[in-house]
Amino acid sequence: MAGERTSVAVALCSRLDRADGGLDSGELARRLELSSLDVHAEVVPDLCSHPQRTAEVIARSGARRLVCALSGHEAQAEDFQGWIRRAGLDPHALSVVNLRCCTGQNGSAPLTDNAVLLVEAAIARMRAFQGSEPEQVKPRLLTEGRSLNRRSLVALPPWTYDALPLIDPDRCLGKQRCGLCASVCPAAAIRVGSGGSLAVDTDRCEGCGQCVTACPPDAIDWPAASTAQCEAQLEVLCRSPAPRLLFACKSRIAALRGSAGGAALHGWLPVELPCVGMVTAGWILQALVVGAETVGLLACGEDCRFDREAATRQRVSYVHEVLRLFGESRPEERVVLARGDPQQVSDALAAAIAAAGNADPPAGVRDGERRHAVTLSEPEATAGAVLALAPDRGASPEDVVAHDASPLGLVRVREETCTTCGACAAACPTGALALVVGDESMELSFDAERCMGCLRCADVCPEAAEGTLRASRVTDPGALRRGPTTLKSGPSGRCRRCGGPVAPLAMLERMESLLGDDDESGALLETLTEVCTECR
Amino acid sequence: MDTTDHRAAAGEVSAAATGASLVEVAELREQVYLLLGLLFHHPDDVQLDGLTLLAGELRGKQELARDFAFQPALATLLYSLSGLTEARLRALRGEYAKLFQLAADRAPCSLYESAYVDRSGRLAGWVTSSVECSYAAAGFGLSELAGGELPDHAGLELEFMALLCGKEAEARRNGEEDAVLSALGAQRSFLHQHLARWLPEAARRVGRLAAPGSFYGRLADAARAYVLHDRGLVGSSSDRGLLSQAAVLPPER
Repeated sequence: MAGERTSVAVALCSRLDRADGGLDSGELARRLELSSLDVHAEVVPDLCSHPQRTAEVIARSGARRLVCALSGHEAQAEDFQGWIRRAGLDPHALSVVNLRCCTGQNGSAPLTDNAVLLVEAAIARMRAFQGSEPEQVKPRLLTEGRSLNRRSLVALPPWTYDALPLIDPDRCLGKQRCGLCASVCPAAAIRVGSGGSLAVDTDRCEGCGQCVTACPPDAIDWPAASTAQCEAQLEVLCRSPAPRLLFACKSRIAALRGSAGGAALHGWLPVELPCVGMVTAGWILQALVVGAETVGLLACGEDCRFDREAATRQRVSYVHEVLRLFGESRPEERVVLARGDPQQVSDALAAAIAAAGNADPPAGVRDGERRHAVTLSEPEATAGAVLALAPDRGASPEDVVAHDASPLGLVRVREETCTTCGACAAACPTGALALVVGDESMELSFDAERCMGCLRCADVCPEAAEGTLRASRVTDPGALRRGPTTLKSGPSGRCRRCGGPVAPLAMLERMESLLGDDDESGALLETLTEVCTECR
Repeated sequence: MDTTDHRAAAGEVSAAATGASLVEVAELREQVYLLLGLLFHHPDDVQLDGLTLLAGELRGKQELARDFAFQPALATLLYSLSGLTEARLRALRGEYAKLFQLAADRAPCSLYESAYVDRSGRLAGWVTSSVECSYAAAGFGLSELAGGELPDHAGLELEFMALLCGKEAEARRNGEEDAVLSALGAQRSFLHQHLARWLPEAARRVGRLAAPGSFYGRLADAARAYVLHDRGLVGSSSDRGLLSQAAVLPPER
């Protein structure tokens, strides 16, 4: 099918038919076209070795986005990117799917079913792709791993376009000193830009995507793997009855495919990302909630330039804790972190597949039915998944998980010493803490579902010495269920000129106790406590 | 075909897609900068003959430009220049004044670097001097033809980049390694310190304020895409020293 309605073209390599235990690529193309009216799918002779043939597919289909389904690991996305941009497409409007894991031995699903699923997931990801802004397109010469011949020294060497994150200044909370993205960036590439919002230093950014998943208001768009794209991809993959999802960085999985351990990928549905370090605990839990039988993570290798293995290990450990607490007897078999050399990785993945059939599914997925749409933005991802997984037995101290990698937090205050000054609410990047100013009173409220456990509130509390505010990285389903709660409320002082609120009485009393009773302090106190800021 | 054969094939494919000589690339870059620079000047100061000639030459290089991600924006701009007449050029005065002129320091989209980089927003201050120093360091100065325009005007900064690309192209043709390195260094430094630091932001503002499909909207899109792209390309090339090596390589026989 080709025409004006075509939004995504799919080019399938004819070598899929010849691979061991091969697929029926013709049948695959037919099923893909039947599944959606805006998809054009065709089998291309030996596409893996002839990336230039993608240009013909684009011309025939009129599509502005392309999915290439390949049978081998030889071709790289860069080889295809050059041809799609010559065809006038956005350099990032391309998704390359390697279907080798669907050939040869496989799980219970018929070979073509898994292949259809993987390609449809790539199509969904491309549909969610919004196009690149000029700031997100960074040229990079391709010299690594390629020998340069004489021609490449007189001619411009081949190059590719890296995708860079772009921060939406209207949504960025940098002005409120959020900075969570900057704190996780391994390249220190996020800095304060104009107007206080944050901006990406394109020279330093290495495209790992940590910032994208660390941003609470989802203000960072990234053509390589935006949250919306990954959500769309997971939605499709989890249509499978019991998918085994494997989050993996592109270079790591390519290396594995090229090694003897590549066979271990059979039965897994890979979700390829620029860096596996961008996978949060919420992603893993969401995958389980929407039906994944097993979730694997291919850890960074020793040569990883981002070196996020420790962080990934911590997140997996947190997920294990959550699952164990909520009834999973062998969480290590349900969520697997494959580490080490290719042989060790291969063994870990194969063991997980073997063990998958023996484990009991966690409470949230026991009925085998989808209850939720996939949400990958934190902290909603973790909060939603925890609520789905936790046994519904009301608030129970037994259900609390305290872990340094918890993406959720909990804040408590000592009512005796909290002055409701609101410094914590002003510093909270997600609005979990909020100061509600009423006509007669002021109220400090807390919503556990929005708390990321960043602990910034504890840093700014002026009464910290009194142990007034206690913030911790804790996952408490009871607190999540309760929703917003009032931590402290009290009457506010009134302005003697306009009658409006000045500040909480408790805070004014605290100021009085701090200032002396000399004449100067008395005058200052009078101004501060009896007149609102507008009337001063 | 085994893996080794495939890699060779892939190399061949890539070469086919990017086989432009570095001289051709430098010439293309020079002409794009020149075109953008001309168009950011007041319509009354643009010579239609020269503009038409330049646009025609660039249309002839679209095959080369197709390799680059900025090509769609450039093609759209060139399309709006097709069939340009004196009358249509002069008709742009109104839009130019509305977007860029009202008052030099309070225009909705100022075309002076100072308005974006100098926190005080003062024109003809240290930013202007710094730009003038960059021109002088490369051996250039403003001629009387500039009509007293400030050195940090978008049109002049873009034309300066065109001059640097022209120097690079000439040095490559003559096989002068030092001159290539010097031109590349100057380009990189000027892009990082001046042009790429503010013009994309200015162009973004124009894109928001200009009417959809208007001439200056298209110019702004092309300028933003091109300058950001060139900054990445020059940075990537200089980092690896690849573009400079080409200058000393003897011709292949």
